[in-house]
Amino acid sequence: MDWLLGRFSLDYLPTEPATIGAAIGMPLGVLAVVALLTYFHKWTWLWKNWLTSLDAKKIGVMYIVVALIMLIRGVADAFMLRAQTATSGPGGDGLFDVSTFQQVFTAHGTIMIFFVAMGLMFGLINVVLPLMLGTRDVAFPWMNSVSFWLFVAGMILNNLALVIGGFSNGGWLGYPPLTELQYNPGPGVDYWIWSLQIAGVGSLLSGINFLVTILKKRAAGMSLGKMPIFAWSVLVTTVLIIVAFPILTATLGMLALDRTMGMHFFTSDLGGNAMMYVNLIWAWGHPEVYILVLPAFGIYSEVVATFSRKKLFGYGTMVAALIAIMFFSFVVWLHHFFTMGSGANVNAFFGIMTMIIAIPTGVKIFNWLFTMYRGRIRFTSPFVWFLAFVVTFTLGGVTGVMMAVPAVDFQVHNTLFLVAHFHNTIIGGVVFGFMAGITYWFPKIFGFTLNERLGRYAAYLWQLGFIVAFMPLYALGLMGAVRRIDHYDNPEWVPFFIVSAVGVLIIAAAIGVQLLQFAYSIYKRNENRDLTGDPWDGRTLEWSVPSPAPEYNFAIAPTVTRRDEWWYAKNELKGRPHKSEYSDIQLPKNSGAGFIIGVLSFCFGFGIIWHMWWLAGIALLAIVVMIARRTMNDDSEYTIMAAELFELDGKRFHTEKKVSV
Amino acid sequence: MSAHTPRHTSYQREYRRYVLGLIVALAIVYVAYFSVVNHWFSATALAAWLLALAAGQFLIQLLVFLHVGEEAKPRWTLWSILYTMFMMLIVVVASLWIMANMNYNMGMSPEKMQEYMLEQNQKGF
Amino acid sequence: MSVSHPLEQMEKVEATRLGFWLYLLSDVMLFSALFATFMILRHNTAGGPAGVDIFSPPYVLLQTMALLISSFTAAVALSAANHRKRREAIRYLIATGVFGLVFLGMELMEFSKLVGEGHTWQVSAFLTGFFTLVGTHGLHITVGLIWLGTFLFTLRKRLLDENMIRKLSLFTLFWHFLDLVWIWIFTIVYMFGVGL
Repeated sequence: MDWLLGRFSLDYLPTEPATIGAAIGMPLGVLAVVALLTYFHKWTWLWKNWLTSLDAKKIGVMYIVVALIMLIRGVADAFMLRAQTATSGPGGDGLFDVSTFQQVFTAHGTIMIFFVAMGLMFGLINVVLPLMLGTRDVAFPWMNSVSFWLFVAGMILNNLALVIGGFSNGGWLGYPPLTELQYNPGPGVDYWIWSLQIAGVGSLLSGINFLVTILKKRAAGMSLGKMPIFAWSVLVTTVLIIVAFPILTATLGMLALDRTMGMHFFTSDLGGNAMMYVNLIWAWGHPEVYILVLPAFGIYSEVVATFSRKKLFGYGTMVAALIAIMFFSFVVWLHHFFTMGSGANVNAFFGIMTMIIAIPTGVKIFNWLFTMYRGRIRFTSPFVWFLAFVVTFTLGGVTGVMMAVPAVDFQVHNTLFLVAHFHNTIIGGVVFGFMAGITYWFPKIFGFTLNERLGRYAAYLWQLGFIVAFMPLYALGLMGAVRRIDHYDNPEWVPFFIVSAVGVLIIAAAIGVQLLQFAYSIYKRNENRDLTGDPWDGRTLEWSVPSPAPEYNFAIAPTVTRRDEWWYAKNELKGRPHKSEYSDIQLPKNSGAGFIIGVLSFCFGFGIIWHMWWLAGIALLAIVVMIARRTMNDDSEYTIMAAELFELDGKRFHTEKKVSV
Repeated sequence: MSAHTPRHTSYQREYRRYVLGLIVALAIVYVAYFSVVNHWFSATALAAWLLALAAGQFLIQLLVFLHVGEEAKPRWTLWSILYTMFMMLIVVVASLWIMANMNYNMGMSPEKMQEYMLEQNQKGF
Repeated sequence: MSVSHPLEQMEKVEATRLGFWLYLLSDVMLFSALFATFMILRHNTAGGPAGVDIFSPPYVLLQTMALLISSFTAAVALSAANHRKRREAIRYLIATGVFGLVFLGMELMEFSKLVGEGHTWQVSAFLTGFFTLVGTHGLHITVGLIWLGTFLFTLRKRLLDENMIRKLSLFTLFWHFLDLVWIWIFTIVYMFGVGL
């Protein structure tokens, strides 16, 4: 029976109170959702309208929902970590045992980067990009669905570890030799590897999808130079994804080969070289942080221009800065391991490159500030997020440049100073950007605006929470506190750790306010309906369609003649188009294949993790068959006739009113 | 290569093009083979020579078989190939440089480490 | 009424082609990571065999010839298809498959010989790198041959229409790309392994 169950056994159920709690709580949560769906008879609705949809907007919303749920888990993990360190100074016992602590910090990092940040990013790009480019959907809608479900499969594998098997204890990047068989024979590291591998394939496919969309599916007349800067930032991001993610796939693959086939890439014996892992993983890892932040920068470009009522300053230099980052992000990665021993020459080269790459980012920040100058600023919540970003991210960037100097880095590498730096840039840059984006584009998808006041409070709380949680970490790092420690001896550190724990609570409160904002806004949606499609008096094409955006985005494919086309075109409106201007359009039919491939991928991962090779083999074969079937499917679209479009589109000309200043 | 390019070249011309490409490719392979098997060069020269041959072969294949550079403007596939090759070179070459340094500094056995430290000592560190 | 159709078809074709190219380029990066790792680990033989001990230059020369010829026949097959020469196209596709199988067969024989002699991927980092790099290429070849097989199967009954020619051109892209990767394997794994 060994071959059937592999190494699966109930012995792997959790034994620590914290993990037992999670192992019970999470499935209960899932069951609750299942129960609600069944009680309200919503399964068909869910399947038809969401799970099988190939509409990028719907897929985008699903990404964001999953990412926000993962955000809650990630912050809960963070709170556990800080609760531990607040109570484990001299004389204290802490709350969790070492093994739990290690799994929690590993899960925290992994979830935040791969499932929260990447999820929010792909979600917003899906929602916004086709609309902004004046097209109906991404280049490959079916593949888009597959990408999403691969993301979900990875997410489920990641969380399943909590229920049985335990998660990796090797940190979010899983350095060998700790993550090799010798020191980690159990399934934890394998859960980590395969949830990332599967989600990583999804990311790569999305990168290809979005790049082809930008290069091949822009509206007529929209040359690259007339594209909004958000689209430019997505272009560069997707290039980085296509070139960097395969490195992650290869590296995780090699680690998996070490663990499943007894190979010796990174083992500490028979010639393996663990340092090569660190080198390769960061050759992916550094472009990854630019992949995360560039779309957020793109969002800021749109938000600042709209709420300063002024065109973005320095379009050309913005593009140049993005292209510079596209090249430079690949020549700095060694700064993540200055201390590993490559010597002065190598360190000097990468140190200088790292300092240089700060320049294009600086250019962008100045351009945003110059956009504000002499603009007519509206202090909306997306704009508050932007202002919070400027302050927070600049600080984080500056500490980064400090660490670009190898000599300084030798002092603070892997201390809490580093931890503070990267949270500073990721929260200030990436998280605040995606919050701004969600608020900004919410009405376009759902047809009503979110409550402004609660949105601003949330932003303020996040900003305050960030400061309280992370400024103490800068101090601690300089005082010598290293990262990932579950207890310490220095009594001077205690107050700092306590303050930091309070900071996490403030962030949790901020998220609570955001959830309240969603709930309240839904409750009050009828009072906040977006009736014009253009609630912010925007500049780009997505604001030219009704809210919520129809499935087909544009009833008549738009033609573009300048940047910020909508800003000028809205004042040149010619009224309802004539019937003859509409043509039939084709849209992709729904497909359950993405969902099925997600399930199969989960089975594949599960099979490898638990050594159920038969399961992995069958699942892989089935995935290939599903893909082959799709390539032979010639009937994957349906048509909306021109006459019907004329009717559907006509409705908005009765309800729209002119936007008032 | 695209099914939509007009058939300007005849089948015979294309056929001859590919035959020529195959012959040149095979020739390069034979030269590389005999360079190694008959020890025509010293170590570093051989390494450089083999890499040059491979690069040449690579280009032939790109131009003759993959028709790179023949697509209509904007030449997205060309630019993406160039960018990827560039990035690939950076990642590979830089990794080799980094790891050579790492291995030298960090990959020593205890005895060699002792030797190294004595040597550094004599230099006055 | 539906004026947009031919244009949208053309756009879809171009989009698919570009998408496939980008996937191939991502595969290049994957192989680069494997190559870099191999190059760094190739001297770590841990008391086991080195390249010069296990590689047979004439054998790998034959293999390389087989793959190069199959690349040639694939290119000719596509050209024939573009010129509407269905019989020629199928003939050359079959030739591609035959030479491809020869290549793969030789590789499998090499692998099983090594394993039989106890030189497995578990012996040293060098052998780990070798089996992984060459094996990954071999896996791609296998996928390509299966893909080719489905073509030949479909072509028994179906016309060689625009649709099929498009898919065929994607296959030949893939096949040439594998040949390109092999050049570097031939050079860096085998030639370097034997001569340096």
